[in-house]
Amino acid sequence: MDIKLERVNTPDSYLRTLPEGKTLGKTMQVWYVQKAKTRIKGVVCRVIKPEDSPEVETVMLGFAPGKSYEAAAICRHGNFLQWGHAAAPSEMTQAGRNLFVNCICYIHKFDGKRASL
Amino acid sequence: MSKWASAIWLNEVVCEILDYGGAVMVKCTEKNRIVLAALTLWLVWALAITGGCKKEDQPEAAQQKQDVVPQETEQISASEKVEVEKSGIAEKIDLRVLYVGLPDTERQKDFVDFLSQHFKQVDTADYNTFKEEQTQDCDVAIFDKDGLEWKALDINVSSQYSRATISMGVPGAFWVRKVSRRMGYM
Repeated sequence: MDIKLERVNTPDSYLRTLPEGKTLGKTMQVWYVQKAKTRIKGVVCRVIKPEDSPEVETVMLGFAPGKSYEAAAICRHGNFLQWGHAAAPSEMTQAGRNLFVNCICYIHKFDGKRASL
Repeated sequence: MSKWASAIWLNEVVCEILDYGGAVMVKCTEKNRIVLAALTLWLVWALAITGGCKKEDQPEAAQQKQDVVPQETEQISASEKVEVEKSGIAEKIDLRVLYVGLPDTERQKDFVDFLSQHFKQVDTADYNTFKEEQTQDCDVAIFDKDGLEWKALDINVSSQYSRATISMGVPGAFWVRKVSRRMGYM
């Protein structure tokens, strides 16, 4: 994927919620999945840690100042994959479109593997 | 001066130096002359062999360089081929995708046009009348509305539902909290 990284200030909320053993600098690198024109660009999810439930995973973290560092933009539980970005493909970046296609292929691996409640 | 001539000259100089050692050394110098002559011959022979080997090595090194260039070219060609395949231009991905969304909208058209470029089969289902059974003939279902509404998708699936499914955007995050208690809107 052709990812263009940009450097942004690390949100205070990230520094406050860093998991033990992890560190972040004053700035961090991010890349854009979509060219959002709206105020709401999407949503991040809380994910129960994989060690607590092996069929749950964070596929990609989301950059959401105010939320915790481990907030997931893309996450999976069993056969469900939540894509937090709101934009339609024409409003995604090229890297975002490639990621979307990859996610479709990825979740297909879990077809038939029903998420247990 | 040739190699042989320089070797003889060197031998004579060494012998002269040894001769300065005196009478005791005279007998030795006779032996030394022989030893030095033998050593000189061996040195010249070694130099000749070494020089010859270098000359023979050079074509091999050049051949190795020539061998490296095509390998690099082949690697670049292979990586370019992979990129083309990844982009979906070379061949569509053999998956049947069902897009469940609001019918006759720009958003639905946007998704279907894009998905059709990458996947072999793309079908649509009306979000308003969707039934779980409609996913029977697809490999992956995409549940979408507008991506932004602050309300869960109004889609019902049974507890036995196991089709690979992507829920989109904000409504998807609220919806997924209903079907999965392990992830949801934060």
